[in-house]
Amino acid sequence: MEASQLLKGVLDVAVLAVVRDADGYGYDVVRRLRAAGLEEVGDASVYGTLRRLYQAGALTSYVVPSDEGPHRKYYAINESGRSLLEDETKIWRAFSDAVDGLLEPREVAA
Amino acid sequence: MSDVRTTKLDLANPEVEAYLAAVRDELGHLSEAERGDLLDDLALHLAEVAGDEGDDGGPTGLVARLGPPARYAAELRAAAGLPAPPDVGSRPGSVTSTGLRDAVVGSRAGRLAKSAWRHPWTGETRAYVRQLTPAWWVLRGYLVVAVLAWGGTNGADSFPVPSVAGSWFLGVVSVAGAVAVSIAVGRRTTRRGSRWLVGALDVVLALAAIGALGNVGGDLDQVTYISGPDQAGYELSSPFGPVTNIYPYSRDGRPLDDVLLFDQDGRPLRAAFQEWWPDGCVRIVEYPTAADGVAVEFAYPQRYSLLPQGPVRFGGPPCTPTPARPPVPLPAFPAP
Repeated sequence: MEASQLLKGVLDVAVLAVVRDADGYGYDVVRRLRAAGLEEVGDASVYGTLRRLYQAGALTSYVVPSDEGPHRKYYAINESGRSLLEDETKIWRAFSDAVDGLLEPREVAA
Repeated sequence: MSDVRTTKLDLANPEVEAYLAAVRDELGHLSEAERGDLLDDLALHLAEVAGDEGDDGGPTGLVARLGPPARYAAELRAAAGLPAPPDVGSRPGSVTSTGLRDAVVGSRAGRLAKSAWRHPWTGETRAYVRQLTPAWWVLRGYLVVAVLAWGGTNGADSFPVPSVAGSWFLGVVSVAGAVAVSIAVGRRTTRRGSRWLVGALDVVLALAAIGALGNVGGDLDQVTYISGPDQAGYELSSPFGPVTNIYPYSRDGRPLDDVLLFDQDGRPLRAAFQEWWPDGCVRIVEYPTAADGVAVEFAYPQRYSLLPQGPVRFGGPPCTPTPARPPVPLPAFPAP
């Protein structure tokens, strides 16, 4: 089982969770996901997910001007995104509980 | 809000530009709006990835860090929830009909081509070739001028520095101008249609360059080196090289003309023929003639003059003659 395959299913909830903690721009979100332990997360997947969530209205964006480098587009979560995150969190918890339960060694029925 | 990095981002990084162009190319099946939206900040994003190199001990190079552009584009498109490309060879502008395309794609060769096209190595090669495109723009500027010069009657004279209207200076200036235009064209040609047109012209130029180089090669083969009269055997030489002329003076310091020189056995001394002159003009030697009309080849100093048809270089282009030899200061003689 490859972590990258699993990631595809949970990338939305992971990205939403990262942006809920603090607004972030694309590469910043990639780094925070990796720092959190999702080291195999694909750069393009995160970037594409951010764009999709933004298109879907779950995120807002704003541009931060910079004297040193070019302007940077930050993404922030909004109400719609928060409720999406809540729903997906519930689904994830139920799913992971179920898998955890399956993985626990059980006594063989007599 | 997270901390804002203040590292200067290099947006003009050619590696980033090449990678971005390759990704854009891969997303050619999307509408302009969809693609623009997806690639909106990607240049910035890629510049950051490139700028991060070395910080984390990871591999260097965008392809090494992000994978081939084709895979990156596919991942990006999938994550953004946009449709996959219909199939290889069916991008907008392709003229293959659906039936034909299906036959091609469905065939064994078609499947092979498709898997080769999607192989990571193909993506890496394409990204690498893309990085070389600025070098081609420079070469293209040179070739445009050089091919015209090589194709002329004096092609050999224009290699490697093309001469325009017989002038290497004009040639260099023309090349500089052509390179600037070529780069400008290269940077601005982003639409698919115009890229095809420029690509076709590039092929024509490359073929013309190969043909013209053949012409130049032939010319170079035909260059003959004029050598001095060899019937005399050894020509005069000094520790500084061949002696091409002798300037005799009388003991009171007067330059002498038409002095005949012989060696210890009474054989006439022959100076070497001077082939090359600082101004590049071809010169011939003019011998004085004896009473019987025979040229006296061992009379010194020898006189060189430009060709009767005027000042020209080898091969024919005109030249500007400068004095063949600066005035020689008179040697000082001890008082008798």
